[in-house]
Amino acid sequence: MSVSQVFGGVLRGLILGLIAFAIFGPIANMLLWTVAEVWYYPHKLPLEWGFSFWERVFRPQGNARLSLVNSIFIALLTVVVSLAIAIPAGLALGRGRLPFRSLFLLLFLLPQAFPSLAVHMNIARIFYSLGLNGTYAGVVLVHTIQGLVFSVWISTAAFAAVDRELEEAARNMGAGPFRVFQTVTLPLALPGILASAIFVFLISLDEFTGTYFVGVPDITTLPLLLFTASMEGNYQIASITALILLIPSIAFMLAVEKFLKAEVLAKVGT
Amino acid sequence: MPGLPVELEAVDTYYGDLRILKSISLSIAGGEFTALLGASGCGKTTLLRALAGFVPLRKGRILIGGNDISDLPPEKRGMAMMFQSYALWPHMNVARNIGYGLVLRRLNRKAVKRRVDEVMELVGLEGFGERRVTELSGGQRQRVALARALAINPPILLLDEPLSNLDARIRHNMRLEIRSLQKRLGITTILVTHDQEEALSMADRVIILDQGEIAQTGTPEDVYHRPVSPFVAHFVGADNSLPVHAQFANGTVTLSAPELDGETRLPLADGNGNEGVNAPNPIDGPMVALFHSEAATLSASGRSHRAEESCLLANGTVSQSSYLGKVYRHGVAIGAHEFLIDHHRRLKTGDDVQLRIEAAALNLFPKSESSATATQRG
Repeated sequence: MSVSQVFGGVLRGLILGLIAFAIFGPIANMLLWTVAEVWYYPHKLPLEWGFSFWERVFRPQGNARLSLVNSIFIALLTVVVSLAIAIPAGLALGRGRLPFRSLFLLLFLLPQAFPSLAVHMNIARIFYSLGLNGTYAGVVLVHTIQGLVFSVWISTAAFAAVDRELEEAARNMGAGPFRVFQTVTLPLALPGILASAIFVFLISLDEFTGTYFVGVPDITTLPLLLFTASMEGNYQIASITALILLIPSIAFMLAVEKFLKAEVLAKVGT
Repeated sequence: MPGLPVELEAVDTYYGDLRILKSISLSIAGGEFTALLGASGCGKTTLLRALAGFVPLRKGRILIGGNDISDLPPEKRGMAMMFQSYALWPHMNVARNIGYGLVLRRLNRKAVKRRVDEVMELVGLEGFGERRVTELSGGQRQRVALARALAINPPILLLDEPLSNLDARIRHNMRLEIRSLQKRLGITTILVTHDQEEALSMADRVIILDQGEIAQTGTPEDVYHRPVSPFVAHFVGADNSLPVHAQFANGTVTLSAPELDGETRLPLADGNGNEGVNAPNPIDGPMVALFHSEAATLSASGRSHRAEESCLLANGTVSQSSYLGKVYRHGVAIGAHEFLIDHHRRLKTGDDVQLRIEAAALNLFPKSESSATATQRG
């Protein structure tokens, strides 16, 4: 084995190790914290191990349970509201009959284009005057605004990917417009719409700033709990919460791979 | 259901500001097989889609069995269309694709199954009901599309280039199959195609469209042997053209050209069964004679058939040849022109040959008409 080969091998190992550390380092640290009872500087590993903090997180009177239920409830409602907007909007935009089509698509992108703190602070002010602050409706609306760009864009692409001739064939066989939508258009666009629903669900689950401005102190979600816990230096609670938040993200990766076809992705934004 | 007659009265359609169909009128008898033949962009598919209700009429009416359906939406027209892409629903299996129209007609599950099985047998798809359409070959998909259209017992069947996605061997079989099914079921059928062989071999009647207008309507033999315009003649494959000078006189035409030795007097077709030159627009002066490659014969020069009546003779040299499977197609140079002529055996390049064309194989058109289509086609 020549010197350069050895050097190359070492270099490759080093780079791979760095990448692995960058990806798995923080996660490994987080996993350690979830099972640490006592752990302080300068010790490299926890001094005492155990699951007592899990019990505290999932204790019936604990904050975590309520936050988890809140988070899921809000995420589900956000999905419903987003789809109620995204399906008709996607149908209209995906068909290209609408004038100013790209303008509409950009409109949904706009909330993402500005600093989210600025946007949410002003939303909070408006919602305050409408009495929406501290209500589920307010939080769901804020999450919907965040998720809309994805749900509208993805469902637009999903509807655009449905071949018009397949719908014409159904009408030719005697189906009225609604029946065609129900039996042909929607089933064919469904994988894309499901993907957008999962996406919105995850965005809502992870959403922090909007919930912070609109929901606090009446409504607490998991990200808020995580924030409070880590601010208080309660790393065990924060890590366990983060781990719970990680589960849907991993499920999402798998779901996207299964549902979202390449041709749907290719039409996003066109 | 026996086929219903279809009637179009001065139909106009537009795509934006572009006029696609220009005052099309035609009537199709119940049970008739009609082929709409034309180059791409001639409006043939638009005409079919207008019949199915996917293209609105700007002017005119469409009557089915005497009822005006011009304003009915596609789902109320009862016409079954077979799409060029087949348009099968990938999220349904074969049986559900075929049964879709039946379920919409509120048949109970048993009746749907019975009819689906019946139609699958009709098109040779027994046992394919549970298959996904995405697993099928092109030919099988085509059969599913046909079965779906036939399942609802339509009075009118619309076929949009149904065979263009199939390979040659299957295509020839399907032509015969579709034709015999259509005859057996008596469905009024309208086929759209750009393939003249397909149109001629399947249809009772051929309608040739050119830029949104009907160029000619007639039996396959009519359009093939008696084209009314140079456009139609070229379209059905009469691609050899010889400029001549023509002189018409009581049922005959006298042709002369630098490529011909002297003058040739030929009888004109008179429409009463007497064979002769097809000249729908006889004007004395410069004309163009058009004929098919297989309508002329070649023989070695020297053995002249000068004595023979009613055919055109010309001398030339073989410039090239290619094998078509059944015959050899030869390039024959006569003067400044080159003609493509079929012959049963290969002739050597450079050989002197005599070209012989029957009067009945010649189509004469005024030179002005012919050059007009030549520029259109270019």
